[in-house]
Amino acid sequence: MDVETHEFNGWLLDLYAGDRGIILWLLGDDGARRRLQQDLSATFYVAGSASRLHTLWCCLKNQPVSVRLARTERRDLFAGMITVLAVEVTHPIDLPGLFRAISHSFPDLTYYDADLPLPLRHAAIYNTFPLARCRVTADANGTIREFATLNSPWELDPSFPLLRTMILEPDVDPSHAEPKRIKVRTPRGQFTLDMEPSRALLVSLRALLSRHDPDLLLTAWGDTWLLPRLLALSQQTGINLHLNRDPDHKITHRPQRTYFAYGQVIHRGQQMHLYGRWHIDVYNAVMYHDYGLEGIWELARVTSLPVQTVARVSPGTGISAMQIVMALRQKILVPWHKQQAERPKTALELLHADQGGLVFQPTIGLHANVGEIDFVSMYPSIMRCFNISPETVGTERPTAELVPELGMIVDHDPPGLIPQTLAPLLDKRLALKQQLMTLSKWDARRKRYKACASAHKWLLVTCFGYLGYKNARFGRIEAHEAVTAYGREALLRAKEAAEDLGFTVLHLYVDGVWVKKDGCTKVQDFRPLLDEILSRTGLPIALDGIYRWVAFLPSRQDVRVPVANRYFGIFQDGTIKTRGIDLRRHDTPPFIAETQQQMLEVLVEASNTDQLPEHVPKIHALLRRRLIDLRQGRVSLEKLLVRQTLSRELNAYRTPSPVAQAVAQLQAAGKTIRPGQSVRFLYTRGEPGVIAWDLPNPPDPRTIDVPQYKKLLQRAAQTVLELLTPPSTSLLTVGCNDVHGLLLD
Amino acid sequence: MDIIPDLISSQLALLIIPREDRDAMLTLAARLAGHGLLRVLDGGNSFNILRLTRPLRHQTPDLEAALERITVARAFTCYQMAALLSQAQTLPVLTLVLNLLATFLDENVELGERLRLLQACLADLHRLRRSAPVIVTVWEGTDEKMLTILEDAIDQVWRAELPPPIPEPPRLF
Amino acid sequence: MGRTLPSITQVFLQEQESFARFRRALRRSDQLALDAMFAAAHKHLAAAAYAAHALPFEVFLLSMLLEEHKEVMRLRQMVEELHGCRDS
Repeated sequence: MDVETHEFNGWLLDLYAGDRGIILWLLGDDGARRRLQQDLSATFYVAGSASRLHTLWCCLKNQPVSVRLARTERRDLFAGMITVLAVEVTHPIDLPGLFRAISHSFPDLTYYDADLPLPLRHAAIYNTFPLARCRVTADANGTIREFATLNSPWELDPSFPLLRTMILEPDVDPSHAEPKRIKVRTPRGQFTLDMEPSRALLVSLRALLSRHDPDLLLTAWGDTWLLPRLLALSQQTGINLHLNRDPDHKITHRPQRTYFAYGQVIHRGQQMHLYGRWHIDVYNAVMYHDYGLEGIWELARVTSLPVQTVARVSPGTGISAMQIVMALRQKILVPWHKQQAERPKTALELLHADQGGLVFQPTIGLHANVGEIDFVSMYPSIMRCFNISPETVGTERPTAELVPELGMIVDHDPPGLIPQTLAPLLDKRLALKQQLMTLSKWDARRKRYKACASAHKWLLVTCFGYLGYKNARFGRIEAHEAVTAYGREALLRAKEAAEDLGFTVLHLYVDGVWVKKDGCTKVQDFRPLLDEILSRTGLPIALDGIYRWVAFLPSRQDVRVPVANRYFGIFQDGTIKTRGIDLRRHDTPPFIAETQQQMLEVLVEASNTDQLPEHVPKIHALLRRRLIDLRQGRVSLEKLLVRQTLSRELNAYRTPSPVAQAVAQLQAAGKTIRPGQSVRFLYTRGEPGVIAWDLPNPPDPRTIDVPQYKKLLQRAAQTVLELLTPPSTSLLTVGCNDVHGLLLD
Repeated sequence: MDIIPDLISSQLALLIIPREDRDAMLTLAARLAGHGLLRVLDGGNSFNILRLTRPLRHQTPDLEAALERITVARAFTCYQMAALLSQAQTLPVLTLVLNLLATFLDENVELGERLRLLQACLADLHRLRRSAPVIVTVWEGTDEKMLTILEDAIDQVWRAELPPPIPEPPRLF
Repeated sequence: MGRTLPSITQVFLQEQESFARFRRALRRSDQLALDAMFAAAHKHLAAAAYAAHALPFEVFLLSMLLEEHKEVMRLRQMVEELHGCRDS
């Protein structure tokens, strides 16, 4: 009997386990949002002694979850082909529970492909990703008979559906005060709903959700306050909100976490994931301010992770997902617990291997017509170019090559897992950069391309760290060390190329060189150097820009001592670049950051270093005006806020730092602050010297510690001014005295 | 009192070191290195070779040769520690396991799992002792339960005392 | 992650610290001169890191000597210029 089927095209919105197989949500070309079901099994693999596997087999045969068992051979990245027991779980929803039970009873066995997100499994088979364009054939029950993905994540201008968005925003920051109203924005208009009475609020929201049926619910504080509050109210009143499109699913609530990673304490707020539609909380979305929604779409496309996940996790999870999909496609086993240990090296080898990138101390001072040349995505490019992957380092094949400095070899053939994973990403990044250069300033695509470029950059920056990360599935410290060794070698060759071509090297920093040469002031003057570096290193290299002038600053403690990452400069096109100075620091109050930025903007008007001293009086005048504003109380309190992160529990502080004192005040007022969360505070006169911002009673502007802010402002000004003296006079005498005269106010 | 000869003559020894004596593990490594080949398995990511070089220089003029007689492998998770020990070959080389328990304190790994891995480590330690002495170090005050497991499984347990403080010259004021 | 050895800056500071007693017993003017020598060595930390020498202080000493020599060359040139001016 022929079952009637329909074929249609659309975009993939969501994918998750159903009671049977998986559920997919498709946004069709006809505008319909369809919930479809697809049969999909999920397999995990177990390795171990034959007798133990036999016992496991019997155990699995005698339990209720539907599985299909087979003995097979599959590739472990390091050990090669091994014998494993394949456990094909008919309905993916059963896998986590079954796996948990088995791994408890048989902890000595080695497990693979056991804890993989379902969308990645689907991606490995069907090449899907969020917002992928698909062609689907489904029957009248909504069961998918045929499925094909029509586009790829690597396109520069993919087709994009028209998403329906609804925005929910409380009228005030809930950590500051209790919100009284919620602003709702839909494609048809904007409304304001009162929080009280709650029945009316819920009924209105439910009606709005039903009428507009958004694909995306964009909220402010939705994860940490709004949705939990709405759900609690819903429980109390018995009014169901239908936040999920899928009525059969409950909202997934992930609790907040504090953990230690990459040398910092990180705090993640709780999360509220919806089914059938996306919820993104702009204040809980990692790096949202860096690349916005378009960056999130791009991350989802490229990693195949669900939109809601990708918006909230660190880039490390994204890179890991890409590696997992690549491994699954190549039938390489994905380990559950990373077991790979370091191979012993001699103490001498460790001395050479345990280094990072080369970080030079720049020549302090003001320099004109300086070219900044950077290797493009240096570490990922090295991984790709030299085929560095966990399984390619340390092998003894004839195709292997000796890594510079280290007694380690890297196999060039066959292509490693990591280089293969990175290749399409690197290619897209390059293509995007090239496209961006050709677009005019007002081209509508610029914003999206830049967001995508930012997303790519974060993924690429993370993949190197991930290579050496102790918990990464496909990580290996030797690979990490090989990459930095190649990096140091490449940087030194770039330096040598510059010096051989008559350039003076002012600074070197991991993947960039700052060079100058008399007569070299235009882009084409640096071309021969770029070609030479490319030929000596084999790595892609680009001219970041030519500075009209750049100031390499000394250490705050000692003016004789250079600091690697503290400088500011103006490019020929007028853009300002800064590193390490006050306005770049997260804890600098906006008042000071903005003033320092304005001071730098004054300097943009100077077309060369000779003209700089003429602009110094303008900066002095700006500083004077700002100091007067401060003294006369004309600076709003918000602009004076210092934002710092609590790095450990309060009782772990021996003497309370300002941030610890602010946290103590907040906790006394009944708020909980965990390590990894940031607080805002103001400096006040007398003891304790700080007042937290989000306390019930707003602080009195008259208690502001004006001398403290004055000191910070003067310090910021000093940073800008200290090197701006006429070239003929000594930098330390005249300049400093000039500035000192003004600052000793 | 120089315990090195005793440590070496015992087949498997556990050395519990007070936390204030931060350099103890490295000083021990330096002195052991002077006795021949040394295999170091570092569980605490603390094997700062530079701290070894001066003491090594005092023992031998050829520093580089001395450094080549020491092999190091590091473990950053308890899984890696177990893998390190299981992969270590039974060789006639003195083995020093630094800070064995450091990676076992990670509460992200279930306690039952950590204890299982620790037992596997002990089995490998007993295997390695058959061909050459094995010395295991831990910090005093580390996890009670795990320390007890170690003490029960390892026959020779030494508790290092703090070195006597250098007497301060009497102050005049 | 995975870094076992301290950074070159930390090693430098530790070496500098290890001479604190020596420094304390110097005349104030000599202390300033010693500080200037350490500051000079600071300029070549990257090369010291790359050298991965087992005894880093030897490289720091070499850096100090390098800077001293640069100063000598600079002064020598100045002296020659002054002599040249006077003789002509």
